[in-house]
Amino acid sequence: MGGRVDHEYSYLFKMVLIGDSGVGKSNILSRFTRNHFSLDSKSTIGVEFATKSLQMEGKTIKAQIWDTAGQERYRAITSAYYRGAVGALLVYDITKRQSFDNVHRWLRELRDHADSSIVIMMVGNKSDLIHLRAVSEDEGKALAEKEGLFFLETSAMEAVNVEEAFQTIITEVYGIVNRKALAAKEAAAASAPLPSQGKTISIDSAAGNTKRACCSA
Amino acid sequence: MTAQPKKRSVIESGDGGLGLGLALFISNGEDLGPIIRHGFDSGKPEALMQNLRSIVKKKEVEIEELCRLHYEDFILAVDELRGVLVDADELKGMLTGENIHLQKVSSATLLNLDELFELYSIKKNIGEAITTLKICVKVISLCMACNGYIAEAKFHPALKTLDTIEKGYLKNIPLKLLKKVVAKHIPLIKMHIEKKVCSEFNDWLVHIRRMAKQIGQVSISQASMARQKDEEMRARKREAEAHSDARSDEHVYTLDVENTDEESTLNFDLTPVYRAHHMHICLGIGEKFRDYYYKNRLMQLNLDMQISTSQPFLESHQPLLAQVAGFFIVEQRVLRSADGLLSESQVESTWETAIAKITSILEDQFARMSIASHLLLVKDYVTLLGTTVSKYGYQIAQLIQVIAKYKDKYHQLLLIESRKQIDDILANDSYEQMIIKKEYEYNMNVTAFHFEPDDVVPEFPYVAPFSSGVPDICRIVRSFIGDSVSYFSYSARTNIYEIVKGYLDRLLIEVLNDSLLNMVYARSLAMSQMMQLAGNISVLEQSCDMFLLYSAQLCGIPKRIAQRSHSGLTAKAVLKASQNAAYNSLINLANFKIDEFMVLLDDVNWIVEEAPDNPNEYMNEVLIYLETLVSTAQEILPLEALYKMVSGAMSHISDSIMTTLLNEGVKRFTVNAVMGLDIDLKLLEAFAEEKFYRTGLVDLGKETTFADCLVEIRQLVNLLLSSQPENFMNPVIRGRNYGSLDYKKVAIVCDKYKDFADGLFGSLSNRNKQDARKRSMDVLKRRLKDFS
Repeated sequence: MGGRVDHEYSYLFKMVLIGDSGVGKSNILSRFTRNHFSLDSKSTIGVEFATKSLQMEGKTIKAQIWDTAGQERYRAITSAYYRGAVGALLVYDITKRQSFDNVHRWLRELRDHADSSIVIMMVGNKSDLIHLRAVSEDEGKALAEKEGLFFLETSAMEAVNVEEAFQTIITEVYGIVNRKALAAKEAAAASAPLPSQGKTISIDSAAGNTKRACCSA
Repeated sequence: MTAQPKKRSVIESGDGGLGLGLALFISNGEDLGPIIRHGFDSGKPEALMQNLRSIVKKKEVEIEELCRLHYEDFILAVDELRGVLVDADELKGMLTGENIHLQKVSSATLLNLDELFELYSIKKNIGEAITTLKICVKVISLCMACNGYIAEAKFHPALKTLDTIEKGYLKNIPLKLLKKVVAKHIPLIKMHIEKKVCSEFNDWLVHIRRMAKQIGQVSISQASMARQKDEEMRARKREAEAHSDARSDEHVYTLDVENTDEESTLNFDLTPVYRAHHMHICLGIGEKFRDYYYKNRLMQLNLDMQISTSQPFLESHQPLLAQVAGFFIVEQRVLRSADGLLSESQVESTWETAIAKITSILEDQFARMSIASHLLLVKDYVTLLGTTVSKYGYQIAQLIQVIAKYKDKYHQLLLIESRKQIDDILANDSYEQMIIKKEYEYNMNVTAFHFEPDDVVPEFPYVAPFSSGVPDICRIVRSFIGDSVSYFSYSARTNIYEIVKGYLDRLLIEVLNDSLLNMVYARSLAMSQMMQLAGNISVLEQSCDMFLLYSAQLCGIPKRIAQRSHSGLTAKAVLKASQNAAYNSLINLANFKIDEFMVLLDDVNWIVEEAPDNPNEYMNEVLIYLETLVSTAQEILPLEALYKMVSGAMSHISDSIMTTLLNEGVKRFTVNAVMGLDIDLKLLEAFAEEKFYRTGLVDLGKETTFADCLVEIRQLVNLLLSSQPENFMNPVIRGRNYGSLDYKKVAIVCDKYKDFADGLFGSLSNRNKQDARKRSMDVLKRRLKDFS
């Protein structure tokens, strides 16, 4: 039963959570995957990951989300885990300006190690702490626009916008994957020698390719 | 009467001690157990049994007696009882009849009674139900009221209602389900109220954080305006003192118009804080709220004190400090008015944290600043912050210490800037006397610095003894003094006059004096310019007293006290020394120039055959130069300097001629050449004599005149032209006429002395005279050789 459930998905999307230490990455992850929030948060050691399945247009999408340590001493081992990631949540803490200022550095890291087509959402977490805000929402929006990123402010504590953040990335990635599949299908159709017979064979082949690609991702 | 005989009989029987004891025990009703056990234990039960049987017999006799006595009464009683029995049977019959009759009559009434009982039961049940419902209605109406209050966000009455429900009704709710629901929802509602109140409070936190900057800015601007008023008062006081006449009619009254906008800013609303605190106390978690308040305000403060990295500190420091000021004004108000929400020690602890952070920021920024006015700008705002928060009871010693700590840095920057400015002025100065044509120019450049008595107005154009650089430098020095005093104002509690004096001395010595000396030694100035520079130094040296008075004035020290003070600026003596250095440079420069003309000595024909009628060419040039030199110096230099310079020039000319005669360049010379020198010297001596008297130098009372500077060469020439040069060897004559001459020099010169009297065509008329001189010279030569 467990085995069957594990294999019952159409796509597997790997996503990474990055950002300074203490901005709330792990709580965002636990809120999304287990609807759990912990005030007593300990620093993440190395890498952790969790998964959650979602339905989209009748297909099952399994999101595999990798949570990283923001601290400097774990930086060495984190370059490897960018491999194959289709989405990234770049998290800063709206009550810590330094974490917002460091967004540039994390972006550079993404561009150095991750695939160029990775979908990036900038996340301003801890939006419930309105009285301790150090970075305005407008500043976040402006930076996101400038860098071509998605942007949302979240509160892992109050479960505000967390689901929406992941949903946005998954929707975007799903769209990209679909467009790729469609392009492959059209290319295959164009090169078919026998119209009726080739069409049939091409359709099956395209579907197979799509599935395999997602598995490898 | 019966009892007494029985007692007597018992006593009279005399059955022995044991019997008597037993009888006593029995009559007293005591427990015979122990006695019986004792009897059996001791092995004498028979005696005990006999005694007991004896007592029984006696008692039976008594009973029989008693029965016999009352027999008759007993019979009568029995008869009477039987009679009563008959009566009772009769009565029983009557009752039975009555009962049957009653049953017939009242059966209908009994039915009614049953109905009545049933109705009473129903009434009781309904009463209980009504009572129950009343309680429920009360509870539910309280719940509804509570809901209403919550809907209207009136949390205090809501809590009161909850308390009423919880304490007054909860235990008594008869319906279990209702009780359960109410019990469950009370904590939920309390939690909801807490959340709502906290949310409202958080909104206030956001609001007050934004307002804090305005509050701080308004408070600081009020402190700034108060300071401005102080400055105006002080300025008027200085003016009044400067005029030194009491003008009582100069009191100026100003109307203080309050700024209503600022007042409204300072009357910020703390209602949400009071409300939240009170609500939490009602909820029984006052401590939790106090802790929450303290921690979150501390976090806000830490956020506010993160200085911007994108904005220069010069721009960001005012909002930063205003924010902090506003924060602590709010905290002070909360402390005073929120009834235990904050403690004194908490506010003090927070302030210590803040001021340590501010101190650290200031030290870091001050260390990096490279422009004095920036440091002054920040310092001014910091002192305004200090003034503002100290009114609210905060300790500002650390701020004062930081400012004091960086005073050297500040003044170092001022000195650097002043050096640049002064160097520019000196580099661009034309070193020509200022010609002032208009009164405002005079006021700006002369009166302002008291170079002339204030009550004297000269005729225009006025020719100043200094060049345009001098008033410019004085303006810089005065500006430096003002900036120095500005730094210490509102931040130093001690007398700052001595400190400012110290820095002023440094400016005048390390900057001004050094720059002036650089100009003196740079050899980039012409003679007249160098003279003007020396004159400028003289004026600046005299200005030291004016600078000192100005410092005292700005430091708030009355003029008469400052004037009485004997301690002056060290710079005055240093500038005096530099003045002398300038004079020495003048002398060197003049001598250097003279050397250019004295080179013409090389063109002199030392073996000329005819006595010359005119002076040599070099002397003409020298005299022209000296004429120009003296006329220029006379206008600029003080007499002492003029004397030194001309004396030096004369001595130099004398030395030059002497050196020429001694040098290898001159192999031999004739008496005619010496006669030429004599003509030159006479001209020079005449010039010296004239200038010595015409310039007024004679009034200095110097023992050495200008002509005296030429004495060496004069004596040599006299010796060479003397008819009896051998007299040089006579000590008395030598002491009187040739005292400045050196043996060796005379020997060298005399060796070069040649007379052409031996010529074939010498004049016969002079033969005898020349011969006599020749012989005398030969004697001198020989004796000098022998001497050496």
